[in-house]
Amino acid sequence: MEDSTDLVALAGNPNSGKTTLFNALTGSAAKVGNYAGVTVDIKRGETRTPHGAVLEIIDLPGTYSLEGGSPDQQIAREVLSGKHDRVPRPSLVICVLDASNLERHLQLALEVIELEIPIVIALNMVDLAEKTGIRLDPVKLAEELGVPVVPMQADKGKGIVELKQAMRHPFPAAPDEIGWEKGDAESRRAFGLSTSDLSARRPTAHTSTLSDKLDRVLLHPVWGWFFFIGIFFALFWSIFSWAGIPMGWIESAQEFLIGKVEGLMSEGDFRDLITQGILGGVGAVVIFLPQILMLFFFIGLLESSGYMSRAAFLMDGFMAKVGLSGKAFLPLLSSFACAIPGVMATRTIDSAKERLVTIFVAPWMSCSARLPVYLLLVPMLLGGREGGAKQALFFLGIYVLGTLTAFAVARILRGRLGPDEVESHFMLELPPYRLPQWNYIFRHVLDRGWAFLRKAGTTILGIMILLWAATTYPKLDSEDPGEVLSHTIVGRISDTIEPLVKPMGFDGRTGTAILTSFAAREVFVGSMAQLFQIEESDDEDETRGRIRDRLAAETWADGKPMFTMPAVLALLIFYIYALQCLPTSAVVAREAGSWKWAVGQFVFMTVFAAVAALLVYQVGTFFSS
Amino acid sequence: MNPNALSDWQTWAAITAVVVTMVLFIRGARKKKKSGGCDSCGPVGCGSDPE
Ligand SMILES: Nc1nc2c(ncn2[C@@H]2O[C@H](COP(=O)(O)OP(=O)(O)OP(=O)(O)O)[C@@H](O)[C@H]2O)c(=O)[nH]1
Ligand SMILES: [Mg+2]
Repeated sequence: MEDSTDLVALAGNPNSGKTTLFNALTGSAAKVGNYAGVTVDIKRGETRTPHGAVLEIIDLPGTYSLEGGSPDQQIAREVLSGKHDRVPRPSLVICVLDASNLERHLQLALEVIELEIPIVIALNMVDLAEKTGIRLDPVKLAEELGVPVVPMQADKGKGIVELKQAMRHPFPAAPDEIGWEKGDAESRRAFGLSTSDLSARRPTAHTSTLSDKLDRVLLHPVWGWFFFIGIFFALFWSIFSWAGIPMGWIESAQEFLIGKVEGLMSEGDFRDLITQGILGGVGAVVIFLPQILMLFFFIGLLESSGYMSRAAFLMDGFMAKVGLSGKAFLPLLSSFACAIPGVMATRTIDSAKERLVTIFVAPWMSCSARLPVYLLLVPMLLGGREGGAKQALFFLGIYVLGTLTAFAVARILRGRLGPDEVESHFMLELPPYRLPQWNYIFRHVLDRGWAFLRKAGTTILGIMILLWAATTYPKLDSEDPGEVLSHTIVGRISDTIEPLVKPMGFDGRTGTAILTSFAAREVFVGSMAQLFQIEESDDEDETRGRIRDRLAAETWADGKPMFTMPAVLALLIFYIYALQCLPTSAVVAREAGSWKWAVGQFVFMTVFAAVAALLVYQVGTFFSS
Repeated sequence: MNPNALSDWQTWAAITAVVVTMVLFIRGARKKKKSGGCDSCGPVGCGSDPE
């Protein structure tokens, strides 16, 4: 960090709109959501004031108070008090307050004023306050506190210019005199309440808002669950039924390109590398881009609508039975997108042991990297047709299975860790429902889609090239494609591991594809596409066609079909349970504070996956024969 | 299959591509080890890279 630029910190209670303001000031697309505890780490950016000065802005996790609290709140506290080891004390704090909740949010502002750092109050969500009938008086608030107050609506960019005006040098000094006794929590509380009474007058009669009405249904002990399941069903159903068309486009583009290359180049290794390795292998993964985008779109909707906290509220009773609080459900829900932000989000959990347990089971929530694998396998089980309610239901089942297993393991682990030193108090805010910030969702989805393509163009591309080489060399001069294959590196690997994976119903090639997917789960789809086209490569017309059809036609040496129902189920089960994501392990090690947790988790999950797959295949074949 | 494989430019091109890929992978792994970061987060990036 440069010394010349001033550091401005955004502080405030959770869900007050700090990150929305951060994005508006810096032009970033940091994660925003309508629930408490979205930001759990420090985010940096830059902004330019109307006077041309450049300021470094940091977004902090939300915190209710400068005392106590979960690890994420600790970060905010350390920065504000100048005790953070990598961030210097900010020269200005912008305290973001929710105007519709002023009496509660004001308390933190008073605590920050006590720290005697220059402070500007961003009185956010004035639109919401007005809608609730609150009569705001920002001038009065500024008078009472002795600090500048800027009313604003961050999600519409209103008040940003005024805020920037207030951020000019010299920064407004902390007030010389404060209206309460410094350090006395009781006196501070009383001052806060009387001030918020004066500057945000509430209507006398409480009217029931739209959120209240919605909650009567969505939090209903019976109807609530109906909608909970219905929402997730609708999510999977639309992923299946809407993504088919753009998927077809990508598929035709892939086939067109393969045809073009085959037409332009003469037969040879390099042409094979391009058509089989790159276009065939990477293309098999990229085909699932539309579904990935849809999944992120829907998760984005869930996060920004306010439903996330309702889901956690519904789950609270259930979570208590496994020894976790409802709050732990939020990180688990985030893990449906990716386990890494899910693991990070456990920072919002007060209890250290509860946090460890949640970190341990988070990768069992099916993340988006598993989606391509599921999308390849599920239609094979259900007769190959895509779309439809049956597949959506089956998908729901997959996600439920992962979740229930996570809970069961959490329960056992929680019991073993023993009781907690600190009583974990479950404080869950239920923010009002909101319409999403569409431009943010749009950017967020594009961002994730772009990241997926980047990964396809780097890691996955690299592995596909190496895999192609391993299936091609060393060469054998023979007419029998089977013999040629078993002479190659992959052939030797697959012959070696076949006895190991055969009890699960897989042949050596599927085993090899599983091995490659420890680099990244999606690689499995590309590897299968490559490994199961080789035998037909002497028959030019047969090389193309969908992987799924090729797999369905595949047989063992004795002519029996290879991808039977039990075998595909076993594969599916393996991917539901196995931990095949190095970045996740790295983050787990950091967040849990020890490599032992990451290694233990990896070994446990992988062994669990293999045993479960074995059982499914063995029991399945027993009953189907 | 091509009997005189090594005399053909396509084989050389393919082998070069493979070697370049390997070098890039090894370099990438080294860099990552040094920075300790998780830039290849998840399938889709985590959006929450550590500081
Ligand atoms: N109505 C209204 N909603 C807003 C305003 N500013 C932000 N929001 C919404 O408030 C919610 C919370 O926004 P965030 O920016 O994620 O809040 P945060 O303070 O960063 O929350 P944490 O990271 O959890 O501490 C989102 O749904 C925003 O769309 C505003 O001025 N008016
Ligand atoms: Mg935030």
